[in-house]
Amino acid sequence: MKAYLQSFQRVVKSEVLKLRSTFVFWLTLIYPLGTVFLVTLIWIGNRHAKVVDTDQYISNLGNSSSFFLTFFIVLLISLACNIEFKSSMFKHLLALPVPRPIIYLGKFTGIMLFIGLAMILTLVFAYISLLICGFINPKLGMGTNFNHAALVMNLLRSYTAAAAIYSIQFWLSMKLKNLTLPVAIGSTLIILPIAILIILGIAGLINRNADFLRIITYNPYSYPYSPGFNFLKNTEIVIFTKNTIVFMMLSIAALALGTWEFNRRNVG
Amino acid sequence: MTKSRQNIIHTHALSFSFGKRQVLRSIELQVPEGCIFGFLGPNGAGKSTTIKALLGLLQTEGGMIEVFGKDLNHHKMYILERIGAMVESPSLYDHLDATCNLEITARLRNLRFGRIPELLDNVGLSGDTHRPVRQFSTGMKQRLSLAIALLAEPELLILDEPINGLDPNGIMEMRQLLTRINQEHNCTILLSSHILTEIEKLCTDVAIINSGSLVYQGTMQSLLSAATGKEVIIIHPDNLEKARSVIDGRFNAIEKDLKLLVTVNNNAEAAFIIRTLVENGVDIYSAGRETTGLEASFLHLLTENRQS
Repeated sequence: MKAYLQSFQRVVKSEVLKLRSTFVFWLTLIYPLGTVFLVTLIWIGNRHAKVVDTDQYISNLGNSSSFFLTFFIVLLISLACNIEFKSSMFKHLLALPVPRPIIYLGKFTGIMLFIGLAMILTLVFAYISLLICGFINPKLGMGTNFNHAALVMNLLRSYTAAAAIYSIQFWLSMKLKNLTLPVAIGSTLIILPIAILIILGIAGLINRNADFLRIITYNPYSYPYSPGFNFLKNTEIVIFTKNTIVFMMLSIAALALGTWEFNRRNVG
Repeated sequence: MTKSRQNIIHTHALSFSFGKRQVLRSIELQVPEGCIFGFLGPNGAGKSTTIKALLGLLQTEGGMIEVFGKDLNHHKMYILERIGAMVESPSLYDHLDATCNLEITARLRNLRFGRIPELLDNVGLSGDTHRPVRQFSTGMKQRLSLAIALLAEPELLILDEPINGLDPNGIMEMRQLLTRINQEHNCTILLSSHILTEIEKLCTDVAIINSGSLVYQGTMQSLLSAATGKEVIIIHPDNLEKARSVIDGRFNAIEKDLKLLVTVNNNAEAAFIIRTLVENGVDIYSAGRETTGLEASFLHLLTENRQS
């Protein structure tokens, strides 16, 4: 068991080593920076607003980061896995004395570390943004009247809600050689519910908010950004919702199936 | 000292199919320990598939693979720990430098990084350690891949087309390096290549595969002597199909690059073939004789196998 753990640790370290000088690393910086920059820009634009609501800032940041998070995950995982195809590395990696499930799970963990880093960076950039907003307009009360726990919870909710995307997208990206395919499949799954909503909305087939939300919340790729569409009522932040738990179970199942398939795969 | 002839690789009725297409048919490959083993065959014959099966990259559907006397299915990690391999084109991370590429494999194999400079020096890349691999020539990539394969000081080195893309000087250096590794470290080397002259210079043992079946295996010496007295003539006719129809049934022949390769026993037969072709209205642009030992043996075996 200890040998397997050490082997797993080595695979994770190798993954970090090979990804740190690729676009994957820059994407991990660009996504949080871009998201926070966008929210900051909007808040600076609203600085003459009479009612100052820091909860709104948290909500804005949570919604925008969760929407872009889905695309970030799809792109990051697809790029990180495609490195192996691009370099014809599978035939080398799988001829090494490392069990295939360890390679699969180690690579997954390595990529998850980058996603975790993105969340930490979002928090760091958010606090820098708060300082800037507070400096530009002290009346906003950013430094004094701010719900720090809500900010963290909001981000955690988005990253947890994306549980199913991690392993499904990882499996797709480890399976499909052409980078375009996993990116296209992932992006389509993210956008599809919005497209359906727009079409059905225009056609007058959706008139209730519940119907509106149902389509988004049942798709694991759009669920993380579903709170952004819940604009008619102000709900409290719950990390482990029923859907999140179901998607976490789906994630574990996809990871197990992916590992099993990878273990049996012929490297042609 | 006489080298032991115990088999380091032994496949038993090894078979494999890609979908409905059978690629390997009951291969009984035996690679003696301590030798440099050449694995030959035309394109699509099944060389790379066999090598991938030996490395556990393919789920074989029939037969058994024994390496170091152990079943690959049950002792995969034990076997792979003792093997260094290079399969088809070099597998390298283009965005990383040579040292980083070696470090990744060293880390995965749980090896110390101390040997890396020495290995890079051995393959002639000591001056390019910190250049990204994407700036490397094909030959440099081949050499780096070889360094990666040698990292764990393997007992068995499996190299698929290791001299592809190398210039004549690079081929000579690779030959010297492989000979040195074989002699100094008693490392068994299994290599496939299309460059028969190099195989002839380098290998002590050889196997020839054609259409998924093993048509020959044994020592290089016995292969060369088996073909003694037989020759292959290369005819470039104006109409390949017509020439083929004239020769078919009388001699063993295969087509290659718009030419016809025919096995003959003596000069009289060669003259007879050319005369028959001309009498049947086939114009001959050129006719030559394959004289290189291994190449002639190789072509002879292939023509015989194709006929049967």
